[in-house]
Amino acid sequence: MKPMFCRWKSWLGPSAATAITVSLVAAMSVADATGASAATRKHATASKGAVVTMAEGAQGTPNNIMPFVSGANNSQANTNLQEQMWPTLYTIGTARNVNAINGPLSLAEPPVYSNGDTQVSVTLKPYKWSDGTSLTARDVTFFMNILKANKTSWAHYTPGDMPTNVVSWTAKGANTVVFKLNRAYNPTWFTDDELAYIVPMPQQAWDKESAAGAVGTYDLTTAGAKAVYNFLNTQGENTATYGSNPLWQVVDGAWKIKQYTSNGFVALVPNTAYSGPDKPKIAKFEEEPFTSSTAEFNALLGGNLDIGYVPLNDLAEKARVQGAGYRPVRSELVAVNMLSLNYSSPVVGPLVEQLYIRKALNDVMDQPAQISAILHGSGGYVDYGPIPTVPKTPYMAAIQKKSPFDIAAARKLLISHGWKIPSNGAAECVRPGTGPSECGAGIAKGKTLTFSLVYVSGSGYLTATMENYKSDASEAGIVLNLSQQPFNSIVGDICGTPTCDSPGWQIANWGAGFSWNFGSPYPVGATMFEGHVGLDYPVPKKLESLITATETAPVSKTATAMKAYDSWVIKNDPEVWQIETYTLNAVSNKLKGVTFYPVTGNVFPQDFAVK
Amino acid sequence: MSQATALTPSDVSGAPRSATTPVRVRAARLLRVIGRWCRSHKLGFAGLVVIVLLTLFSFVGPLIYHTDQVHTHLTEVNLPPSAIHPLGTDNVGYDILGRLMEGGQSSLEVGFAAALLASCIGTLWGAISGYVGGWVDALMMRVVDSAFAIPPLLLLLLLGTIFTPSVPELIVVLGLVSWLITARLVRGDSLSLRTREYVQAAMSAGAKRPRVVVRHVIPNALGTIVVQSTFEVANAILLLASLSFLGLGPAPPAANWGAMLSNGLNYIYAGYWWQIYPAGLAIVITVLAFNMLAESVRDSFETRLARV
Repeated sequence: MKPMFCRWKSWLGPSAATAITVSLVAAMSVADATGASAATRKHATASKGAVVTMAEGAQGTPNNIMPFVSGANNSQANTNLQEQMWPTLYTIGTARNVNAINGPLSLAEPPVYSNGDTQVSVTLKPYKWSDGTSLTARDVTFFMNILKANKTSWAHYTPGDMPTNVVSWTAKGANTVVFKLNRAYNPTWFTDDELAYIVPMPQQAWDKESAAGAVGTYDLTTAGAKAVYNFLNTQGENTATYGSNPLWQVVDGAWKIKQYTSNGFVALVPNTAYSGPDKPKIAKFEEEPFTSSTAEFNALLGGNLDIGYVPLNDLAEKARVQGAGYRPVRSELVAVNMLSLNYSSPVVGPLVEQLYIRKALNDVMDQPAQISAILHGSGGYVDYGPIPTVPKTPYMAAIQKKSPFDIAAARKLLISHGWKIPSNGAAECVRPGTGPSECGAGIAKGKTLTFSLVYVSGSGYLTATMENYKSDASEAGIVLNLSQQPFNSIVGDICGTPTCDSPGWQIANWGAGFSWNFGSPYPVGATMFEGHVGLDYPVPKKLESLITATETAPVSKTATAMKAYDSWVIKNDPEVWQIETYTLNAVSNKLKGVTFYPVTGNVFPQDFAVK
Repeated sequence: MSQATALTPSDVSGAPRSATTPVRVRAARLLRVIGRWCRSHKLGFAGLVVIVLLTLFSFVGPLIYHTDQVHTHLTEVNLPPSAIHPLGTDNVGYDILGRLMEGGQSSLEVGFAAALLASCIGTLWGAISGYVGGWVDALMMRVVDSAFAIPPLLLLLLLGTIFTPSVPELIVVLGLVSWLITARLVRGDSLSLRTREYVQAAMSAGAKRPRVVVRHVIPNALGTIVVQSTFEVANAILLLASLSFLGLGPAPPAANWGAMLSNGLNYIYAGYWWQIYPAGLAIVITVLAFNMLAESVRDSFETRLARV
């Protein structure tokens, strides 16, 4: 005899049974989610003593431990892990000042610029590696030699910049490195965007071409440096050996890796030989992976995490999070967010080449309303241009501060350029030609203002904002056909240069949780516009020169150069700007010293202490 | 043994057919037959009533209850049920009752059309395979077996990333993954039917194979086809809901029950129950109704077959 459930299932048919089962599970989830009691929760901190557990971000788990980051592995999950063991030469940003060099977290004294800003001297602090040897200038030149031979593999490489713009790097004594530059550079830019990415690596342990081979000076030749990089990168990708590989046990940071499991769980323990000023105060730091942000939030409310985050869909639940024993802490990256336009598309390329159409596309994006209604008034801030709105810097031009949202203005722009807007449907070009009141080059009579817009799947907030964008655009005669695709699929279609872009996409929103993170409080446009994934904009000479000016202007003219660059970009709107979200973290009330650093959003658990 | 034929009112009642019977008498007889069927198949009748009501709700409802399901209304997001919005609003301000009606349209359209397509393909495939037999049958059935080995949802997810999902495309895609059971069942009937006297007689009289399949084999497998088609409607609706739940259904602002359910679950902690229960219940009730109807129709055929 079949059990009752099977008989019931048989009578209903499999599909009905499935539908009912799914709905019952959903209903039970609702009841569970809405009825959880704060009184039943227990904080992990209290039960685990000095073990602090933090949720890994929804964007993925660490997959490469080697601190010479390749483009494919340039994720916050990786850098946050790497920086615990191998800090960068300089960490930019303190809890109070985003632009300042963070002394306790930096391995060197502030750089000294000389010879008209064409030479920089960097003096290392007296740190030691965990194997007992001293951190020396050789460890910096080791990194630079590897970089020189493998520059295109480096995530932060932009043609013309580091290492190309550095004529030489020389060890002067045991602790000082002198960089000679190919011209004068803006010290703020060179420190924040170049020196801050250098990671001293233990030459005495890593300068080898194979696991069995001896340590040598292979980095001094190009072939040797390539072989060393290949060896280290291969080892870095082998996640199964993170806890046991002797390479990764030689660290100068505050932490050593103890355990890594295939699902992305990481356990770090204090580096007992750490010579920095901020010694770890807890026994262990764990990073816990989750398959979805809902699962993470559930664990957070259940008291199973010491540090977690509130998913964008649940921002209205801030009070519930506080009731569960957490305090909300925002972490804001130095980032902007935009929809990318495909200038190479044979279908919409001629359309997006027209400035007035790009302006119209920006005019129908209602960011303030989206933040207010969809993000419950928090979770993001408006972004109308290439200079991040938050944290505040002196680089934003006044023109970027005004919301462009104005549907009437968009309609007026289109009508004045020869488009007829019907009461329902796409605008149609009725005056083709290249005159000032005509549609523009390459746009034939009868061409409609229709675009496909693909955005990253799996985000309720993003779907809602794109629905709103489509709705507002339709009032100006712009038809946006929405579709969703996984993140990797979208990024795979967009390479950033006309020669390799897939012609199929027209407008892409790769910005869900992957906005343009400058990684520096000095947000110049080189890495964003020139040759990196995401933007397809054919950079004109004028923009090129403005970007160069931001990198080379003397300190006294830094703000002027940045504002000139910002103004030009706003006036030409190469992309469609959209909300930049921030992360609302939840930190256990029993934990103190937790700071999310503004530039990277990373934490340094040596600051943590249990109250 | 008698041949299996499609269920007709006269078959059920047992009354003789007559070409000269007045229309009014035939209509009355039809009503009596339907009434008798409804009394003897209460679950099926309930399912039929629910399907009719859902169809009216989805297609006639929007004519009476006017809502804007194209433009977002950010000043009215996440409102609980009220006199103005009886089932509340969602996260971009769409009225949920109106959206439920719009979603019902696509669910029923896709369900019926995909089931029809699947039935056509499955019927032809199964009838040809069973009737022709030999290596053709072996080959065609191995194709079916191979296709069965691929989970339909996996295939749909793959196709969903290749094509931009629209209602016509979803109909084709769902139809193409749903014909296998029909093909197998019809093939079974066909194997039996090809040995019947009237099929042999038709062949002896010089009827071509396609004619025999279309005029004799398929009509006599109609009972199986109708029952399976009804199940296929329910399956297609559920598959559509699953796809939409995963974000691979028709793109916004097209309304869909699966997408509504998925969207509502994003706000599970906010307690916006009105964004979850209506769509969930709509899916359950619709699928249940079609299954109840299909079971009753199958019972009817089985009873009749047992009688003959």
